[in-house]
Parts: sequence; C-alpha cells; structure tokens
Amino acid sequence: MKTLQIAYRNICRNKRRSLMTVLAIAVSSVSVLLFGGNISSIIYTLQTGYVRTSGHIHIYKKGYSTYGATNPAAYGMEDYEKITGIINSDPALKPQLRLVMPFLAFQGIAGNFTADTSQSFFGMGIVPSLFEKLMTWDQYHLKVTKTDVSTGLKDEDLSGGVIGYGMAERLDLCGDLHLEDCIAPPAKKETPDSAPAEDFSALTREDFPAQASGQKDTAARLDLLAATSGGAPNVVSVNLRKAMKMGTKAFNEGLIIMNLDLAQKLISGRGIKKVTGLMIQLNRTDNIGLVKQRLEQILPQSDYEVKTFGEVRPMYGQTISMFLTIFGFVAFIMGVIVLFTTINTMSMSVMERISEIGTARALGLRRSAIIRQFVGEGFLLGTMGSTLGAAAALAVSLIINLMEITWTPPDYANPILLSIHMFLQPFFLPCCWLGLIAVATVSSVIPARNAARMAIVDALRHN
Amino acid sequence: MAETEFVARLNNVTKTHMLDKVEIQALKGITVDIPRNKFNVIIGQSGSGKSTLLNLIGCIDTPTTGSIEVCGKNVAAFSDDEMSDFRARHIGFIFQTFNLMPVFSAYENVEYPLLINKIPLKERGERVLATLEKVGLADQRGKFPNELSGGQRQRVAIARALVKNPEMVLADEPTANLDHRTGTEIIELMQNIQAKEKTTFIFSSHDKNLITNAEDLFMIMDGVIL
Repeated sequence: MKTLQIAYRNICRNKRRSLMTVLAIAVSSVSVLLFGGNISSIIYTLQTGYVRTSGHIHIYKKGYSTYGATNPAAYGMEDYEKITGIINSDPALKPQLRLVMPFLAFQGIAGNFTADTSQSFFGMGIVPSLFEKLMTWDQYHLKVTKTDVSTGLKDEDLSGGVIGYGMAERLDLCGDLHLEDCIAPPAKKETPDSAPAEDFSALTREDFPAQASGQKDTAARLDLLAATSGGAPNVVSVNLRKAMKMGTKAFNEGLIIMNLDLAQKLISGRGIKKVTGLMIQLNRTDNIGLVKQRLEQILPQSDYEVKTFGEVRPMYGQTISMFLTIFGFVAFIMGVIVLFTTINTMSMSVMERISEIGTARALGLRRSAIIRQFVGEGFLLGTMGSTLGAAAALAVSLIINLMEITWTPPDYANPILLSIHMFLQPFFLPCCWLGLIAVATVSSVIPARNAARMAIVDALRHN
Repeated sequence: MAETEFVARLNNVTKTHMLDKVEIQALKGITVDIPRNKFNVIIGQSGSGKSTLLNLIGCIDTPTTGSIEVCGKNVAAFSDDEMSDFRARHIGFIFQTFNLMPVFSAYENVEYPLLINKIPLKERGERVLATLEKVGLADQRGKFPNELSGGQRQRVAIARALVKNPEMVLADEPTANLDHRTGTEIIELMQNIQAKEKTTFIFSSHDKNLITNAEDLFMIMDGVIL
C-alpha cells in the first residue's frame, strides 16, 4: 500500500468536501488556461498580423529609423536590388528566408475628381506577387479572420492598387468598386471656389497619357499627388482593383497599396529609383535573432540598419507586456484561491483525524511520514483538480474555436476570431497544470506539519 | 531477578500535566520494574495515573523527572525519529477505543505496522494471515472497521499489536468499550497468546475481574504504586 493509495482513500472519506476542493482547483485551472489560451491566441494573432503585413525584419539605410520620418527622400535605398541579391544568396540565411521584398512608404494626397473628393493617404509600394506570399505566412496555423486578405494585384499590372475600405467610402468609390455595405459621403454642394477636376488630373495626362486617357484601364481611378525625392510635386493615377478592410482603423481609412513601380514613378519621377527599405519574412519567428545577427554581419553597418518588427512597432512588445501582466495577476489570484481552499480542506482533514494521527505515531510512524501522507493528499487533490480543469478547458476552447465568434479589438477595422489556443506556447498547459498541483501540494504542508507536531498522547485522547 | 528479566524499569518517575494554568501531578515519583514475558496488570481507578504510566512505558510520552529504561534502552536519550523506530520495532499497542484506521480493511490494519517496519511484501502477507488466524479473524480480513463488531475490532487491534512480534504489548483498558462477555473473551485471547508466545503484556484496567487472571499485579492510586 503506497502513500498515494492511502491518500486517495482518505480523500474519499469526505467526498463532498473533496469534490468541492477539486472543483475549486478545476475552476481556477479552467480560468487560467482559458484566459492564458486567449492571451496566447491574441499575441500570436498580433504577431501573425504584423509579420503578414511587414515581415519579420526591415533593412533601412542608416539613420532612417531616427530621421527618416522627417526626410524620407534622403534615406531611400538605391542599391536595394544588390542588397536583395546578397541576402538571397547567403547560404546561412537561405534556409531561414521566406521572402525579401522592397517597399516604398510615402504620404500624399489622393483625389477622386469625378466625385470631387480628396484626402491625404499613406502609400505603400510593393511587389504584388511577393506581397501576396507575405500575406500567406502562417507559422502558427491560426485562423485569424474570415475576411479575404488577398490584394488581387499582379506584378504586370503596373498601375494597379488597392485601397482601404474606409478610404473608399470617404472618396465616394462605393459604386465604382461595387462595394457592399458601403456608406458613401453625402452629395456635395457646388461652391464657387471648388477647383475644376480637370486641373488636377490634367497633370497625370501630361506624364502618363495612355494611362490617364483610360485606354488601358476602366477600373476606378484615383489621382495621387506626392512630393518627389527632389521636392517637386508629382502626380500619378492608380487604377483601383479592389477595396480591402485593412487591419487598423488608420490604415483602413488612409492606406493605398500599389505596385512598387507606380510608387517609384510618383516619388522618384524620372530620377533614380529608390525604396524605403527591404522587408524580410522568415519561415519561423523563432530564428529572428539569428537572422538579424547574420544580416548585421554581411551588411556594412555604416550604411544599413537592421530592425525587427518588434523594434519597428514597439506596440507589439508593449501589448505583450500588458497581457502578460494581466495574466500574471489573474494567475496569482487563482493560485491564492487554490492555496486557501486546499489549506482549509487539509486543516479540516487534520482536525477530523487527530486520533488516527496519534495512533499512527504510536505505532511508530515518523513525523516525516505523517507530513508525507497529508502532502500526498494535497498533491492528489491538486492533480485531480488540475487535470479536470485542463480537460474542461480543452473542451471549452474547442467549442469556442468551432463557434468562430468574432470581435473587433480597439482601433481595428476588421473583426478577428475569438480563439483560445493552449498549445501555441508548448510549456503553457504543462506549466499551468503543474503549477496548480504544486500550489495545492505546497498549501497542504502547513496542515501536515501541524499534524506531525502533535503530541501523541494529546492526539490519542482526541477520540 | 536479573536485569534482563525486566522489560521496563522506572526510577523515581514523575509526570506533571498542565490543565489550562493548573499543574496536575499524574505520577509522583514512581519506581517500578516490570517483568518480561509476563501478563502484567496495572490496576487503578480513573485518574489514578495508570494510562500516564503506560504512555511513559510505551515511549509515547516523556517523564517530567526520573529515568525510564525500556527493553534495556534508556529511551530519554532518543530523538523523536529514534523513538518512533523503537516503538515500531519493540512495542505493540492496544487501545481502549480500538483505534483502527477506518480507511484500511482488517488485513491492512494488521499489515500497517509491518509496512512501517518495511517488511517485504511476501513476508508481510504470511505474517498478517497467521496473526489474523490467531485472533480468529482470517475470514473477516477484507472487512473494514465499520463492518466489524466491537469485539472483532479489538481482535484486529490485538493482531495489529502482535504482528510485528514486539517485546511488549501495552493494552490500555482494552475491554472498557466492550460488553462483559466480549471483554472476557478478549482477555482470554490475550492471555492465551501470551502463554503460547511469551510476549510481555502490560495491561491497565479498573476491572477487578482481571485481578484473578494477572501474573503480576501493580496497584496504582493517586500517581503512586502501592
């Protein structure tokens, strides 16, 4: 007969109390696992979203991250094709790389002069085929959203672009882009100072006569005005293939993604073609540190800077810290509940068995064996509760994931799926399981020590 | 009588209890030698100090003053663990209220002292069955204490005390919770076992019927051996 067998029988003596204790531990376990699983899901969804839109690592011209925002033209990369070649041919990097894509980020004014509307925008010039691949990264096999995230752009479609859904609404493109549930702006009244639409689009016709005349494209069209790297204003037309619900509200209401070639025409004009930087997407996020280290070795550090997506978007790290702090607090509260529940149960058990403790001691059982016996009971209660909780949490998470409930996080344009993933962090479930067992076991030490310290004679009198 | 013939020797032993803030002297300088291989009886009224005396001999309590030698050892020098091991090997206990483990069957209750002594499984099984046979409960071995009568429970307790072949068995009023007929049967059983196996029994009781059956009789009154 082993300690655990005896412990099990003792637990079964007061079934109701033991059941309540096991349920309290199980409920704590379910809470911690579901909350942790949801946080884990949010963090990996966030990471997936970042990696799908901007890759793991960016390479910029030295100083861009500090001064580039105020003077982007001065920090444009000219030799991006050469750098792309170096990265793609590096034998140490090759197995880790999924893609390397140049991009050009800029700002300007977009006008839909047929509807007499315009607004400022963020422009992103990309290589459509690489961007499509970028958007399919799925290391964690997460179903992030039900929304179609494909741009539908083609490399050969040099004047093609996509626009944020909110921006399409603002620029009165609902009809042209055949958008459902689109809220078009109210009809404008003619005012004497309204500039004739012809004036702005006429600039486009001068530079790109074929494109502007509508001979090639019949899709919805926007005229984009931006300053070139030389500081002169320049205008191009983008033929919009679709409107997409973009991640954040700011992007949804102001982003235009277009072929890199078109973006370079707008920003570089007839000058040297530059890009803002290179986006590198890896097969696995885990290797980001190694790849960054290698890139810093092979690229001249005086000319380039290498930034991870966490460095480019510090909000990622801050969000993780916030969630982990909340999780830590909840886990602590649950741990305290388990601690006090188990102490209470074990103390009651000791009180009811004082005479037995005295008898066992009289028969020659050492104090340490008495402690072992009660700690064994705490361990068993913890194991039962934690296992039951883990099983229940798995079942609940499965049901929630199958239900495909959606929610819209703050400042997001698209609803995302409410999901609970307990296996994304391989140690999360085992750690929670073992953690609650440990708390239940440790919390039974105090009553066990009290039991072992009893005077045998006093304990035997307790009949 | 040679020294080795005493299973316990008490020299000027006193024991004082604290009841709230009041000191109660349960034993007042007792000096007594308990002979080995006998059926010893300590007779005294309630509160006379017989249980306290048994507790000291059984090494489950320590004297306030004086010295005690049990089975030739000065137990006062033992640590708590050494005392536990000593009890586990040398002393069997039979209690007034049987004190069986409610979660153990009769077999497991008898097996328990052998587990404490880390006796191998096979030997354990043989000794448990043989001891249960001695007390006439081999066929009841699977039953739990709440399924046994008072007399059967005390038989299990006797088997539990005897199974490890102790040097002495201490029985503190073992018949107090039994009816007269069952009590007499229990005493006869213990006497028969003692006669066959020459195990030392130290038996405390206020039952005068036992006086006729005792080999060595110790009268205790107000904490003093008369």
